[in-house]
Amino acid sequence: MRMPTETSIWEKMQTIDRKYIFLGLLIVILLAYAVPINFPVTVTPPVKRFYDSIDALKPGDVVVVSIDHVPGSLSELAGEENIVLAHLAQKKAAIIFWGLAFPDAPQIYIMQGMGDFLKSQGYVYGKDYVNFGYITGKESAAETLGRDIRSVLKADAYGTPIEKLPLMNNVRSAKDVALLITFDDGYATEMWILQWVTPQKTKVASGNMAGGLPRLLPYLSANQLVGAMGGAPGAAQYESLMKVRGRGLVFQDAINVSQIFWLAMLALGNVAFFGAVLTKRKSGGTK
Amino acid sequence: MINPLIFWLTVSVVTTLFVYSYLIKPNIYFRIAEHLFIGVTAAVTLVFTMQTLWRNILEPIPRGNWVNLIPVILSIFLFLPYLAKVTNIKSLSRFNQIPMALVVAGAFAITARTAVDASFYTQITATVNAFATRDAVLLFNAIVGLVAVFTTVSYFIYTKEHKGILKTPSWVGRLVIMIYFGWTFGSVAATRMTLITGTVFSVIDSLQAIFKLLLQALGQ
Amino acid sequence: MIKEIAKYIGIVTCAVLIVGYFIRPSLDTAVGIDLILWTTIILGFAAFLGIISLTKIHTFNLLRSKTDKQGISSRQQKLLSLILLVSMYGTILIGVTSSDIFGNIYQYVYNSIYGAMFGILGPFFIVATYRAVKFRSIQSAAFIISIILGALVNISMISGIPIVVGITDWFSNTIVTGGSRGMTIIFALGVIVLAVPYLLGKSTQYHGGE
Repeated sequence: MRMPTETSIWEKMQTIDRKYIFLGLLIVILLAYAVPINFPVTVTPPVKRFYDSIDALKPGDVVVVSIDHVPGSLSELAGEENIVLAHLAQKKAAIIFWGLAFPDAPQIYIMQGMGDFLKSQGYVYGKDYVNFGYITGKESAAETLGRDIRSVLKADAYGTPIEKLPLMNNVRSAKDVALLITFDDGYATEMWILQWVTPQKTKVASGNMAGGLPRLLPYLSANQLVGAMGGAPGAAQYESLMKVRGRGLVFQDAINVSQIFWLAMLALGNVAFFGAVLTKRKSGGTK
Repeated sequence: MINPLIFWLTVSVVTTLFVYSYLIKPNIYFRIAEHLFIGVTAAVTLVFTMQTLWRNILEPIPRGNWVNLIPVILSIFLFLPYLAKVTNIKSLSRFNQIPMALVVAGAFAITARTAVDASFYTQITATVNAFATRDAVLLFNAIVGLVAVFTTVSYFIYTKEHKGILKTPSWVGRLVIMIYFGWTFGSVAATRMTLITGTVFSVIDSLQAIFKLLLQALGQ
Repeated sequence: MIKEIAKYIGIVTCAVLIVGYFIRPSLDTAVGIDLILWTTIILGFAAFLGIISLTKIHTFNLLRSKTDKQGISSRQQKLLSLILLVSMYGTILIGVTSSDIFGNIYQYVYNSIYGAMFGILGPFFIVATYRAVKFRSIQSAAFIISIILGALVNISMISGIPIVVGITDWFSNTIVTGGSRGMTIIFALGVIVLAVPYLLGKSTQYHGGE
C-alpha cells in the first residue's frame, strides 16, 4: 500500500532507515563495553535451583557434563560452562565430559580450555576427570549409556581403555551419576530427560539459551529438571551467587542496555504507529 | 618470528567484519565470508564424519564386529543416482530410497517415542499433580495452569468449527498462545542481544590482543 | 519392487524403535544391531553427497558460468566458487593431516563466522520489532505485554524490583507454563497421529516414494 505523498513525522518515523537502528545498537553496546556500570543482578528460581543442586554435591560425587551445542552458541553458553565448571571444581566433584548432540563437542572442550582449567585446580586426568569426546547415536546412545556405560564407551577421547581410568571404576550406569549437566542449544535437554530422568531417576540440569528457557518451564515445574540457566543472563545470576565476575556479568551490562534499547524501539514504533493513525483521523483520511 | 596467533586473530576479525558488512548493504565481502563458511562447514562436517565412521566401523572390524558394515553397504546406494546418470540405467537411481527409508523412519521413531512419554504423558500428569496442594494460592495457580493447557489444546481442534461450545475456549487459547509466544519472543531477544554482544566484545578483545602481540613482536 | 522394499524397511525400523523403547533390551540391540547407530552411519555417508553436490555446482560456475546473477558479475561468481572449493578441500586435507592447524581453522574461521552469522540476526530482530510489532488488537496487546514481561526477566536492574518479580514469576509459572504444556501436548499428539500412516505403510513420500 503506498503512503500519501504528504508524509507526517509519524509516518517518516515508521519508515526510518534501518541503518540508524543498527548504529544505535552498536553505540549502546560499545558504551556498555567502555563504561561498565555493574547493574545489580536478581537471581531467578531456576538458576537458584541449578546452583543448589551443585552446592549439595559432596567431594567425589560423579557429575557428567554433556556438551550438546554448536560453536555458534558459545556467546551464550561459554559463561555458563565457565561458572558451572568453577563451582564443580570448588565442590571437588569428579567430572565426566562427553557430547551426544553434535560432533563439535571435542573442539568446544579444547576451545573452552576445560581440561586446562581443571588441571589448574589440581585435578588429575583419569582420576578426577575424563573426556569421552563425541559419542554417536544420540537417543540410542543416551539410553544405552543410562543402562550400561561400558557397552557404549570402550575408551576415552584419547584412546585410553576405560579399564585404565580410575574414575570409571565405580561408574557403570546413570545410577552412579549424582548429576548430569547438559549445555544445550537445541533439544538435547528433552533427550536427557527422557533417557536418564524418566527411567533412571538421575538428576539433570540444563544450561540453555535465554530463548530456550520458556520451553523448559514445564519440565522445571514437573521436577524433571533440577535447575536451568538461560544464556548469559543466567550465567550472570549464577556468578552473582558465586560472587565471581565472569563472562556473564561482563556481558550483562551490554545485554541490559541493548534490551532496553530494543524495548525503546518497540515503544517508539508503537508511538509512531498511533501518531500516524491519530493524524490520519484528524485530517479525515481513511484508516 | 611473528606469532602465528596474530594471523589467526586477524582472520577471525576480518571474517566477522565481512559478515557484519551485510548490515550496511549486501556486498561481495559478505558473499566471500558466506562461501568461505559453506566450504569450511562442509569440510568440518566431513572430517568429523570420517572420525565417527572410523570409530564405529573400521575400528571394531578387527574385533570381529562386522554388523556395522551393513549400513555401509546401504550407504553405497545413496550414490547410485550418480551412477545411473553416467551409465544411463535409470532403475539404479531408485536404490537410494532404501537407506533414506531407514534414516527417516529412524529419526521419526525417535521423535515419536519421545513425544509419547516426555511430551504427552508426563505433561498431563504434571498438570494434574499441581492440584495436590491445600495452599489456596497454589490451588488458584493450578486452576489457571489447567485452564491455560485446556484452552491451548482446544484451539488446535481442527475437526470442528470454533463456534458454540468451542468458541470461547479457542479464543482464550489463542490468547494464551500469544502470551507464550510473546514471552518466548522476549527471551529470544536476550539470546540475540547476547550473541551480538559476544561478537562485538570478541572483535574488540581480538583487536586488543593483535595490538599487544604486534607490540611484543616489534619490541623483540 | 525397490519402493516396496523401502516401504517395509521404513515400517519395520519405525515399529522396532517405537515398540522396542518400551522393552528392555530393545528388539534391535537384542540381536546385536543398533538401528540408530546405523542411521548415524548412513547420515555420515550423506555428508559425502553434500561435498559431491557442492563440487559439481561450483566447478560448473568456475568453468562455464558467463551470466550475471542476482547483482553478482560472472567474474565475482567464479571468485566465490573458487574460494568455496579451495576452503573446502583445503580444510579436508588439513583435517586429515594436521590436527593443530585444523583446530585453528575451526576456532578462528569456522567458529568466528558461525558466531557472526548467529549474531547478525540481533539487529534485524530489533528492526522487525520496530516495524511489525504493534498494538492492533486484544491478542496483539497480550502478545506485546508478554514480550515486555519476558524481556524484563533478563534485564537485571529491573527484574529485581519486587512487583516485577511477583508478576513475572506468576506469569511464567501459570500462563506461560500452561501454554507451553498445551503446545507440547499438541505437538506430541500430532507426531503420534503422523506415525500411524507410516507404521501402516500408507505414507511413503518421506523416502521418495509416491
